[in-house]
Amino acid sequence: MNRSILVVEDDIVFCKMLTRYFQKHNYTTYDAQNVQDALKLIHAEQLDILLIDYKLPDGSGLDVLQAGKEKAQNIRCFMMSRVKDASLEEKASELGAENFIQKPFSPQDLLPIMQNH
Amino acid sequence: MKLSIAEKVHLVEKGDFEPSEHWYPRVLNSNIHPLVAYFLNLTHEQLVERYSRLSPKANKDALFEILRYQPKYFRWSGTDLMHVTNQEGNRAITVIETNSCPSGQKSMPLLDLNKEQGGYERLIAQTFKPMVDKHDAVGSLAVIYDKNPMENIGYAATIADVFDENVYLAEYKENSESVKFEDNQLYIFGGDEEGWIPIRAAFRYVTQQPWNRIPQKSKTLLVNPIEACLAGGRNKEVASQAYEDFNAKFAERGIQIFTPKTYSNVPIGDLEHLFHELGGSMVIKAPDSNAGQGVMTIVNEAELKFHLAELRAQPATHFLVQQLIHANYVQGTNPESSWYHVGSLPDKKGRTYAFDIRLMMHATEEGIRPLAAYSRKSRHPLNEPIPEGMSSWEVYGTNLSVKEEDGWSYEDQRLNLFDIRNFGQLGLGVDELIRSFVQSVMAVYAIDQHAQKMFD
Repeated sequence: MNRSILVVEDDIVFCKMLTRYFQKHNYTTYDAQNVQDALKLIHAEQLDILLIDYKLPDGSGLDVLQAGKEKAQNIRCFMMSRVKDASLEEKASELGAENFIQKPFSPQDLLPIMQNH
Repeated sequence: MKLSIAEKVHLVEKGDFEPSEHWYPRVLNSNIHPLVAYFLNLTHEQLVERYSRLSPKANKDALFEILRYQPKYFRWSGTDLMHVTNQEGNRAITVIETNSCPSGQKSMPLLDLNKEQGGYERLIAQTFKPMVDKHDAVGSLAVIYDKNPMENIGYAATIADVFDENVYLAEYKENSESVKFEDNQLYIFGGDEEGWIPIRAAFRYVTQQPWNRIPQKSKTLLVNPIEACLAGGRNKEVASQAYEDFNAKFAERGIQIFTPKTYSNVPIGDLEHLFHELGGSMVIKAPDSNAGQGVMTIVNEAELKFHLAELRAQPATHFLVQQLIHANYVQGTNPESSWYHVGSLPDKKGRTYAFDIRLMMHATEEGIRPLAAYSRKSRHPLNEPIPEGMSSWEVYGTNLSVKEEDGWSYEDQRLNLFDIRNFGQLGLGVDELIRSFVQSVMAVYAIDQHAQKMFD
């Protein structure tokens, strides 16, 4: 069965380039450009993976991470940010993020990261 | 592709072009209609010879002059046209508007199946590259955009391939953090290590009030520069003036830009009077409107009242008014100036719809060439009564929704491809495409000449 992934990122180009990359690798994809839409998808869909940008227009990606984990403990979560911030990474880790991925990156960099965890 | 090297900036690399990301799925699986392919391959000589058969008064030298014209500012354009007829059944193609950031590649089937970048490559290799090669400046290449990412990623990937060079793809909206002009030079933020990167040339698809952030006389080569918008590529009022100047210049040589009867710079207080003078219908256009926004069709007193109230709340005080192209014959209208939609061929239920023709063109070394074409039809048929309370826009308006413009949604029920399956439904032939092209080139010529008058 295909795994499902939700990409949460306010840059629509970023979002779509990633979701199309994942589709080619047999993922079922969803995308949201803000916290509100992400939360709706988390509640409505059965998701395996969340890939979440930290900075979103209507809040923090940490809120999405927390909601995802509350919905399903086994959901795998990855945070992304361009800012390197140890305390932020620690907080994300405490909330259950497996990795904090530093931007920029190429879509093909992501699969090994996800498979290694 | 390196995603997110800075806020809404990506680095596009050679080899990033993926056809499925730059065309609608339906278009990827379509085949261009042979008549359309034939039209796109006609030489200027063939086009002139045929146009002068269709319009016997047209001077061939004048036609060559406009087809071989080398625009200074307006080198990539998209014209919206309509197929109309008068009371005597004489058909014509009328120019509705001309755009300086036209969409269309994602809706255009491949002309040559062996060239998978299609119109993207023709535009970049035949228009953008020769200009960049002649432009003596240092810096990187970029695509700046505020809409239509599907096509703009395609352009960036094509530029990377054609130039064998990485390309910055940057969203440029008001208050963008990563794009700026300084001393008329474009810079894009490439991340903390790279800092602000000077751009020597950029492909520009910035449509939302671009004059607020793109300067005139840009040192960075822009296709198209802002002058193309200001001279009529966006402003409908200025375009109307440019068309009038063109028609005066070429009147004796038998060619003219054909538009619905137009009234420029109409104060809001005069709209009601004009509505009655035009026989109880009209089209009002806000001068800087775009993508169907700010264009109103009015066919009765109730719509007039509704739109006047709406207009009074807007900052614009003067408008462009055009005679409505009627859905059906209206008794008592002026036979000299009344035009009707020919409409699409009736479907099995007998319904015929208003449609427009979007023709994208580009300036090449040989002159102006057609690049892409598609049609959009209205929601409600021309030959059925408008239900109580329905806006007349549903009958006359052909713009697809704003949603379509982001390119990721696929709302295609009103999009008519020029492919084997759909082109025939429009009832158009090669002659209508030739007329459409020549009308479009005249509009580009007119606007570019107007730009030179305004800015040189």
